[in-house]
Amino acid sequence: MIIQEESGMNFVFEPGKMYSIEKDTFNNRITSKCGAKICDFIVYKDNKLHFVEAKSSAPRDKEELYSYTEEISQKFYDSLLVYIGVLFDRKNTASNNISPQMKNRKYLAGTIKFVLVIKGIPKSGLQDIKNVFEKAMRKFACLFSIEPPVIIMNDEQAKSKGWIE
Amino acid sequence: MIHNATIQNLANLHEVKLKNLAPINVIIGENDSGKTMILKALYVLSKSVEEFGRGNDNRSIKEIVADKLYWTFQCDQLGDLVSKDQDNHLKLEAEIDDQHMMLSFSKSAKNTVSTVTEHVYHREENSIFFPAKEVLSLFNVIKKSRAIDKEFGFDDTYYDLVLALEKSTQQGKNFRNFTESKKLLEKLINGNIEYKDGKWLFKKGKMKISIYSTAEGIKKISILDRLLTNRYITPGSIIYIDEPESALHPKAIVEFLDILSLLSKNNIQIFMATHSFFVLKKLLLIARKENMSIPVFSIVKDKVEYSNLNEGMPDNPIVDTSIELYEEELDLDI
Repeated sequence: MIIQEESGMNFVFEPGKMYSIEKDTFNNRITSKCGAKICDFIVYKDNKLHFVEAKSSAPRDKEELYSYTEEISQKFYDSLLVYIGVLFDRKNTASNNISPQMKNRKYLAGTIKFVLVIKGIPKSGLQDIKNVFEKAMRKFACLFSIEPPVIIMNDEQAKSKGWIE
Repeated sequence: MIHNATIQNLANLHEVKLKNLAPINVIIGENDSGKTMILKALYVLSKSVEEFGRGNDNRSIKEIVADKLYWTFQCDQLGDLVSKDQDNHLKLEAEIDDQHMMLSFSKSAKNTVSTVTEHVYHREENSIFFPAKEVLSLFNVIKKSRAIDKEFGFDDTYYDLVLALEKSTQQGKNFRNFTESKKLLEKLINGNIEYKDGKWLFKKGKMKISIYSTAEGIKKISILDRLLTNRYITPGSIIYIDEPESALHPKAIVEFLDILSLLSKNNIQIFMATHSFFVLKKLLLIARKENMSIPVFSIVKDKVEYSNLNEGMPDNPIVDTSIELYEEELDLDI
């Protein structure tokens, strides 16, 4: 198994089933040139393609929560588009750092999930955050047939689902 | 204002201690856990002190208490209210304003209580109880059933509310403290109710609509508006609300709670029993925004757990169910 640390949590993956999109060499180029925002990684797990962002906290203030939602949802959208560029070897996103398994174009035709894992947040606070995210992400999720628009869990739930150790 | 209260051996409630009560107080618990019983017990205590010595009523406090218990709980004999598995007396007591009120009786009590605080003085302000169901469309039925036929069916929380609503509106300015609350109430329902020739009508601009064709939620909110207008509710009043959420859309619940919060700042004490996550959540926000204490008494398996919304959302069955649903959804999604 491969372990990757993000936001103070150790994520566990099967070898070859994770693509560290945020750390790919083209990342600096596309963030400065295209203004793209990229999520932490993409993982193929349980026959589903997951775009994952890990956070060490979530804001309580309303305005800050809206900015937080906008930033993270933008990361999911851009990462999906960049991943399409990677699979099709588009000039700005051609990659030598992706495993052959993760370059399987069929994954795009299957189930896609956007997953946000927030460390330390109480379970009772998750629904409110999810409501804000779902409202913001509904249109994009609808266009790509992503249902629900986002999955949000805390570190305890991620651990019980075998996502982190 | 009720500062503290204790309920012992009332039906399934063996001992409930309500300490450090505040302008807004919340009781939560599953169905049949005893939430309404607690509200009714407090109502009996405060209402009895208010009825004592009112006008020409020369009944003793013992007679008033027994009468109020009988018609509020509607049991064949008062002893039926005592916990079945307890040999001890049922005991209700509270610190109301600056007086101590206590009553108790045993399983064998028929229509009298054995002990009541001796030195009670009349409380001028009115308590009022809002049952979960609205009363306007059953107005005449409730009056007939309780006042003429003297039958069980609608208990005194309904009957007292009907009598309070009947009180005519008065000329002159309303209490200045309630102006903002009344404005918000009328904005929320876009009208008000009027009692004319023995019938209730809902007035919306120039339109008058039969109360039977008026939405349940509108009727519920109109009741509070009417009681502020006819000055049955005054500073010092105590309002008991059973399930404020019933018949109200979440948006209306939120606005209704803002109005109750305003009233609570004007020396009105509120007790409410709820099942609603929206109610708890909104009260949590009020507690944080206003930096106010909102005690929550959670009944879990005949025991009462105390928490305060100004310290965050407490562990409780309503939130637990919300989390369980979230986790059920997570299991499906991931």
